[in-house]
Amino acid sequence: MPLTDPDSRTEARWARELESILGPGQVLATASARKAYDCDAYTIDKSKPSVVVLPETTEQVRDVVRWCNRNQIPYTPRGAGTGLSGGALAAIGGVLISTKRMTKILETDLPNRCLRAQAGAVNKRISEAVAHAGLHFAPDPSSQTVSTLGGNIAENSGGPHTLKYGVTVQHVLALTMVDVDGEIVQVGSKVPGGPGLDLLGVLIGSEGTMGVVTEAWVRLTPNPAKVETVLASFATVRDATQTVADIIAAGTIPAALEMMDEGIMKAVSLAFGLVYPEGAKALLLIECDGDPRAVAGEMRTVLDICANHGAMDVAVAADEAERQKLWTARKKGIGAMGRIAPTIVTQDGVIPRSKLPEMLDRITEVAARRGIGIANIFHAGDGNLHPCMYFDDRDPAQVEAAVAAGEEILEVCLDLGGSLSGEHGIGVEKIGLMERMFGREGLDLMMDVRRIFNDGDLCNPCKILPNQKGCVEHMRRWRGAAW
Amino acid sequence: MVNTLLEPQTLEELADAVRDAGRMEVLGSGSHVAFDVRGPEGCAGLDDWSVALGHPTVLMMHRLSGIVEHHPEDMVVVVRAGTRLTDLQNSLAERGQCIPWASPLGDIGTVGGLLALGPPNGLEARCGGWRDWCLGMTIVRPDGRVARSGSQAVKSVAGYDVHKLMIGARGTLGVIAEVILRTLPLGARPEPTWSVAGSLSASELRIQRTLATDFAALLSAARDVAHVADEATCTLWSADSELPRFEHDWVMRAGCGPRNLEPFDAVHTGWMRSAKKLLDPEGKLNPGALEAI
Repeated sequence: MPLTDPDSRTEARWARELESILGPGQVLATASARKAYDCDAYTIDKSKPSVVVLPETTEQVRDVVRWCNRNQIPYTPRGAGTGLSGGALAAIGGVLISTKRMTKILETDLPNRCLRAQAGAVNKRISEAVAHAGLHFAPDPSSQTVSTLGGNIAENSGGPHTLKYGVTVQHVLALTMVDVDGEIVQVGSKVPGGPGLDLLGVLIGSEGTMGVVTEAWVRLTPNPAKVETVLASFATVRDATQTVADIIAAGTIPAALEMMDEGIMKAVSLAFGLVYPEGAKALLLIECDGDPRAVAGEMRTVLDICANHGAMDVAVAADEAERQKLWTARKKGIGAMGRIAPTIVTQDGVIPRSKLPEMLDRITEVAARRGIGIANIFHAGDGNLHPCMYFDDRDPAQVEAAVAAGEEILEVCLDLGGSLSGEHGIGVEKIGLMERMFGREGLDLMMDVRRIFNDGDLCNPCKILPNQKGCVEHMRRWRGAAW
Repeated sequence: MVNTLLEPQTLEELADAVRDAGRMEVLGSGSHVAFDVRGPEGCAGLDDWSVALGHPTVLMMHRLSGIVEHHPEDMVVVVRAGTRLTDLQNSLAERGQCIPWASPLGDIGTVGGLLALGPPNGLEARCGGWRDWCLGMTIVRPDGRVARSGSQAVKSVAGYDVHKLMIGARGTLGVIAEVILRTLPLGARPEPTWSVAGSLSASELRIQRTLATDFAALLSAARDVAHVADEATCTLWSADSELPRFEHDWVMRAGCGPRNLEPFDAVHTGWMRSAKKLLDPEGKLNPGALEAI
């Protein structure tokens, strides 16, 4: 694996060779194209790939991987680039394998409620393709209108409705992937479970470090017979977090249980003209779905608990249009933050749910001490926080403060018994905190597990675990801006 | 037959025992030995594990038991692997919670043993199974190192889900010492919707799962055999008999011997061998079990 950038003549030669393998128009090597692919949605760190390839089939991915192996060139798979931890940053002198032309839905098996699609298929398109049959693909990351099935598999993506329906790993039955030897392999089966090792469970969420996923069979979930959506506002953040804790403790599992604080409310008010009650400091969006009678019972419990904690305003959606309106603050909240500051970095820690009130106080304290703005928007029902730090990245001192604040918040998550990431992954962003969470022994075990599938250093190197050859140089490159 | 019986009571004792021992059989309470893929035909017998196995050292996990932490408000429990499932369910019930598990055999076995075998759940369609409930593990490696995976957060994508690899690995890749599990309020636990025809015994159990489109044909073939059928997950627990096989299906069979083996393709076999070589290089844990697969 090279540790310095190849010269431009070498890069041009690589581009020609790859184009002869793939076909005209399937290789991007101009300066502007490479710049367009120099980061994912984690924008603090950047790294230009030497070449970007756009394969259309599993066989083409295999040919690219084999070419990389022959030439000892590292490669990194990339979906839509909506990842938030830098998992799709290219290695030094590396090839970026984009799945943007692998968008086909290949096969639909309605009687068995499953569907096979290429890795570049957009999440939302999968649900749209089976809507006529009353089915959908349950994982619904906020990026679902652009993020891809392959990216969702790499990150084991969640989303608001995964509280009830489970994350990506619960909805993927089988994968087709190109392994690090350049062989096409199938993992899993249309019938889940059974004897043998759960290789699928380890591969999903491995952030593209164990091979390149090119196709998957996914489970389709029946659309609920009834959906009720509530947006409640509260005078204090603590009232809202306590409401969440009580709903969970009552044994009610809503389909979604989302929280937004004052910072997000201000941003969406500015962006979309939404009006919230005077003095409201937090919003809870609660959705119950399923069998109509069960939903009615859950709604009674939810509304009672909201009232017990002094909810100021409780809006229940009367129809689909109103439901979409209530969801606006949640779905478009982070985008709306763009009005408040030039740079937004969204964090992704998880804590045990009962610790939410304490955690929110700690975040406020960190933001004040570090002198940066933090708004909170998150999956309260499963304790998955998304503190949204806003600042100006033209000022190096603010970048440094934001990075430090983010790490401090994650350390609090670990102290409270939680996790470094609920759905965004480790990528390059959180590598430095992995040992704190898992200890040396935990990381050694993970490294051994990586070696089952990937004993080399070419497939998305130096992500998640930084202990391959050349990772010091890579971290210097990737984290140049952040450190 | 058994020369050495190891029965550690603490994590430290377990780590020392595993480090110092040579090749060993790892058992929970011994109740699922009947699902062994090795040994002679017809060796099954629930209390007969010492006869069923031919190895000089047996590591019995039943004394490493009890709840380490239970956070009812977070619906998370940390439990030692040797805890019998009935004991865990009773303790959780005192706080109004449970593990939403249903098996035609009832709550037999230990938590670690059930995870190591990974049998299907009778409430799986609505409540998931072991793979969905297990949030993390403490694993003792064959050289005595203690590694942790996962966390108490109900949702986490930090690092590789190493604990998922241990589920269904039949104790061949590491010794499960402690487990972090999701719990469910008792009131939210549904009743199984399976249909029951006759009674089943652990020693003659056969479990098969098919595609939805094949399940009616399987049920029809099984009409004269004692069985429990869950249409929601297309799973059939039945008395052992020769039932038809279908594309994509799988079977787990009680008893000992190669007839319990499911064939795997070359790539999977290669990965499984590689997993064994990397995680248990000296082949100390449950020798033969994974190699047989």
